[in-house]
Amino acid sequence: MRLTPMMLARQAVHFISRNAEAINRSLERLGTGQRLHRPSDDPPGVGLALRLQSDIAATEGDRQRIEQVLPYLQAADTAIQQALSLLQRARELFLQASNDTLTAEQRQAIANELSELRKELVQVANVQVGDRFLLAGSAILTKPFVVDNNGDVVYHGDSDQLSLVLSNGERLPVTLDGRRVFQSAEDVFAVLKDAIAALQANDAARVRDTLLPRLDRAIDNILGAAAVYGAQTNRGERTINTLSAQEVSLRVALSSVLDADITEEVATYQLRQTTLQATLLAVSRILPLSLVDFMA
Amino acid sequence: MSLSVALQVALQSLLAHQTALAVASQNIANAQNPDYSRQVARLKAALPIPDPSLRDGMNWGQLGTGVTIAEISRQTDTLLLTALRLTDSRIAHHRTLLEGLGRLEALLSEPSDRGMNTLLTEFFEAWRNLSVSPENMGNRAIVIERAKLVLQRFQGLRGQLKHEKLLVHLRFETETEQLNRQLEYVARLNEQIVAAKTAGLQPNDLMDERDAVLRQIAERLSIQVFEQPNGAVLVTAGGHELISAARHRTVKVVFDADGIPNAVLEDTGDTLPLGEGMLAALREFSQQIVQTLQDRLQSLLNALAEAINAFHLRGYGLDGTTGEPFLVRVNGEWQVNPLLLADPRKLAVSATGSAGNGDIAAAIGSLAETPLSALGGRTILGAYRELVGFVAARTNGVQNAYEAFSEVHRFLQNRRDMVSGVSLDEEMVDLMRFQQAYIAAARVIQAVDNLVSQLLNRL
Repeated sequence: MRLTPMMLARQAVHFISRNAEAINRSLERLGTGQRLHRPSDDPPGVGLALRLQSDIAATEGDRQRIEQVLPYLQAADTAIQQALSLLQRARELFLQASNDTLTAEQRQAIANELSELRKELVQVANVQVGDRFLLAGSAILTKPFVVDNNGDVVYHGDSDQLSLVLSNGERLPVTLDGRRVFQSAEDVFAVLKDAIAALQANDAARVRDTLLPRLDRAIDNILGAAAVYGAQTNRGERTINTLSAQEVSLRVALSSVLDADITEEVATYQLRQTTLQATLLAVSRILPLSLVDFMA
Repeated sequence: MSLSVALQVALQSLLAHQTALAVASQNIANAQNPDYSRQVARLKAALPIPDPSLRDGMNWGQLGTGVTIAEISRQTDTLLLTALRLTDSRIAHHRTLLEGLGRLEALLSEPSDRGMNTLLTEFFEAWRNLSVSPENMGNRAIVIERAKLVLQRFQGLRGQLKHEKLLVHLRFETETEQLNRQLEYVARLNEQIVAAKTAGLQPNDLMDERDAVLRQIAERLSIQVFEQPNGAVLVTAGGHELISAARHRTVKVVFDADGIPNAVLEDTGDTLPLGEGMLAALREFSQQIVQTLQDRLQSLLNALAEAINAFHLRGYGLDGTTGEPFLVRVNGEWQVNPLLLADPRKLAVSATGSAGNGDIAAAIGSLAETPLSALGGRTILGAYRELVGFVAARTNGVQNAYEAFSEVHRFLQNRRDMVSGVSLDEEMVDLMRFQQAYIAAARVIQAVDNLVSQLLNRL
């Protein structure tokens, strides 16, 4: 084979530039800590990285949104529990008032306490976090339970239950239809109003025979709502934990696609550097060799 | 035989080796010229003359009359040159594509937290956040700002792609101009070579120059080269004659209805098949790659706008406004509905009209990963990922092909140098050989001179 200086020079330049290119790539990876810098570095990997980036954002967003609505769930839960304890008190008063030995004045006093209790119950049912009423269905800016001129409590909310839609399509209820809680099976406010009226009329029998069973039905109904709501609060908290775990595993997956293996990169870098040095040395020794130098 | 014959032979030897030295000197001078083909002075014994002193019976014997230069030959391999031109076309083709694709990759800037993927994801997240607290004016403003960012990015990308096409077309025109000059130059070289050959000369250096220019032409488009007996070359491209003897045809650029450049023969108006090379690559880049990106981006944006609007039209704003689109076309450009810009309360987030309902926002938020029939069953983010994947796979493929062809090219280039390249060591050895032969011839002259002077002195 005939070797010419041009061939040697071409080979030298080729090997030097190839090594320099590899070193440049290594340096880019080491400098940024990333394995992928442009789509062509790994076409399927880049698609996966983009997908994971979006998934992480969605998971993080879901978690933040649940964290945002969780106080609503908790506040509504507390309100319903409060309502229940108020109604327990009302039930005791009902039983007390049913006692035939009570005087009219005593019944009047119970009626007064029930009246206060009813006002408190309206307040509790109008539970609010920030500007938001939690038991008004989707009419979150409207005070749901309002006492009208007749002393009746009228529901101004709607029957639309708001829910948070997660990225996977799951729904987490955020507000409740207040009428369903307090006025569906039995209008608890009406029961109380009737009881107050009956007591004022000194009608113990009506309280005992008609109103107490109605109150019990109302309490049962609210207990049902409380159970559902409590379960949702727990579910929200569990979902946050699941999403956090998911986020971590997605980030690990993204890192394995996107990030450079620094140890491996350093090893490659050193290997390439050694190769480049060897190439440069060989080129500098071989290229100047010529018969010209040995001629007299 | 006379002494003068010996003197004549020696003189011929002097002259022949002087020429051989001159050829070696030319080789050495051009050792670093990549297009130069090594020249060799072929020594040949001169025609013998019949000599009566060598009579053998009736026949006179023959006496050598020295050495002459039969020819100064050029060391080339036409087959290798043809193969080189082929790889020249391929390499130029892939290099041109790669340059363009590299710019597109930079344009997309993925994967990063500045790319369209992030912008779209954040845009949809903003809608989801709004769905949780539709009464929050801050969240409404964020949705509108994110929408503006996404639209800006789309328009920016589209503008840059348009600019990219323009640049590529400009380059197509300059390269065609260059091609025309080279075609003309080869035709002129053809003329000079034929003239020299007719005069019995060997136009080695002109032929080197012609080969070099033919390789430059091959970088622009695929050509076939046929050598004619008279020394001229016939150059064709896809069956169309480009150069014949001293005549060449001019190529001009004609843009078709889609604005894609074509190379057309000026005299007949025939479209020139480009094969491979810079011109074909520029055309392919503009017509297939940039155009595909433009189309896909536009259909992505249209699908996005229409899908969002379909929900938004059904929704209600905080003030009860309904039936308004989220995005509107102004002069063919999608923009956020100015009505919403002026009053974000009109953003239709509620499906029922009640303030707390965010079902419309939730539905728009989940559009990111909802298959849309307008995108052939792809999701918006999925379609964008596919678009990035298209550039990625294309670039990757071209890069691999380019590297493979580079190896072939280097191999062929080395093979060419094995045949045509100048080895300085070889020339040095030749230099010594010819120098020795020259000195030897001079010795012969001296010897003859001695003989003659001996003879003259003794007389």
